[in-house]
Amino acid sequence: MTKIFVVWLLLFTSACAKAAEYGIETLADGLSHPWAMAFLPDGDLLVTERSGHLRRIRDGRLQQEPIANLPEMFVGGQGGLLDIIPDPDFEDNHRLFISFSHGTKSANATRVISARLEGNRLEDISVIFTASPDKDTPHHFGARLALMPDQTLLVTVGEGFDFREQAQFLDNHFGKVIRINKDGSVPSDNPFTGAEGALPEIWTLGHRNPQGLLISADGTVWLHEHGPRGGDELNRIRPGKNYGWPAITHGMDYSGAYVSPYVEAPGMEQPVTYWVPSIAPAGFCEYTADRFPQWQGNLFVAALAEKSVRRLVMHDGQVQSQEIMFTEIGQRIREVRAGPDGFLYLLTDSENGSVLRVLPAN
Amino acid sequence: MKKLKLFLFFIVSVMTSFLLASIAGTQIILADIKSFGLGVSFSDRVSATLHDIIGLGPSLSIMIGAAFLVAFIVAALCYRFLGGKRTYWYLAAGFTSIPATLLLIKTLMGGTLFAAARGGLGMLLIAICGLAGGWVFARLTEKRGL
Repeated sequence: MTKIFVVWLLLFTSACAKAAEYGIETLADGLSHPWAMAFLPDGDLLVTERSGHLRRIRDGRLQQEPIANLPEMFVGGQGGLLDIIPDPDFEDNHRLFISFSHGTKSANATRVISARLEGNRLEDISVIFTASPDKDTPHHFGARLALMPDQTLLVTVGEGFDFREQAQFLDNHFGKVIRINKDGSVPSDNPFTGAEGALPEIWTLGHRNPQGLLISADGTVWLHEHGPRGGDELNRIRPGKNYGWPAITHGMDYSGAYVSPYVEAPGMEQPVTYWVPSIAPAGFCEYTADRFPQWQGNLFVAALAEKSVRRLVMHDGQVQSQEIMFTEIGQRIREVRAGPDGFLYLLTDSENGSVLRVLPAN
Repeated sequence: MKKLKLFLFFIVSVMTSFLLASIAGTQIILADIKSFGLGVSFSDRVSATLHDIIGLGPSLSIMIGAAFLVAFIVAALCYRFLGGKRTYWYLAAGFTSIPATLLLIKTLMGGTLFAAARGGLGMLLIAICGLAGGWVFARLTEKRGL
């Protein structure tokens, strides 16, 4: 009886500590499947809506008028307006990098543009990357963006669902991470430059649908990707490496069949960790601020299917432990970002999606 | 009794096509795996084939069952009102029904449910598996005058 009481007391105090750790407030709602956030130096927050609108939150209020002059895009399935990141020199050049699905239902592809934000309009728009070839499925665009310390741009491209085998071949962009310069030209030191039949902008291959990409404070490139039924992966990305899809995987096809009976093979990288069953990782960040000192150096992974955020405690490049957080929200979480103010920001994925801010409870 | 027999023959035809499609599907996927430079041993091939028969059971057999139900009714009506050789109608129904269902699913959901049928050769093989199911149903029901 005493033992039961002690266990109950421990559980109760632990729950109280967690409850006191943070509070969650709604910054904006009524957003149509918000997908990504970009914090601007002036304090504004830009939010992409997959339905094709770019919205601005200023002084904590969602502005009624969307940003104007976005290019035409294909909105359907998992496609639409997707990621956005500001240029590190945004204060001077007002430049944004934006990814979206381009084309039609029967011929679409991941595209990236560079554009200047002038007032409430995009100007000086140039297409800097379009994945090739087109596909006839509205799924698996990838489309996450990240700028490397050397100012090159990484772009993830999904394998289009029906074209998974193409992720293993270098003559196309399906299932690849792409590295380009900010003007769309190809860096001369890309790993497959000069390789026969290889597209020179390819940086890594063998991915399924990578919707998380970040460069951590120590320069490590991290990527997570959706598996099918199980087999979501967190990968440490190195140029020229093959991450195995669909030759090796811990996931099963949706039909119940093998994608592959193998989970490892020579010349193919192993994930740092993987999730079975799927949590559906959709975006992530590294927390380096001091509002939550206990979270410093942790990776936060937004999970659609699990309706949570996974907090990954990292040690020597490995996942030491994981905590499932924010399940009390009860929503699919599309994206998690650490704001410049040190708070954590979340996007919930629904027709009435929200921007949520996580603050210390005190 | 007649209806029960008809139902049993229908199940036999569905299972015939399901087993053939599952086995063919695994070999198509393993051929893709080999094209990446991985060696596929005989024992891996056997265990993967058995795994997929169990794994695909719920989804693929229900899909084939739904496809055959519609297709065989249409075949029966065609034979009744248009005449011709009965077996040919069921062969045609079996051959076309699975590809038609997969294409319908792709139109509705944007992807191919049965991965082995994404390419032309895979789709043809699956259609032939359907043809076998149609033939089995036609023969079993014809012999017993159902």
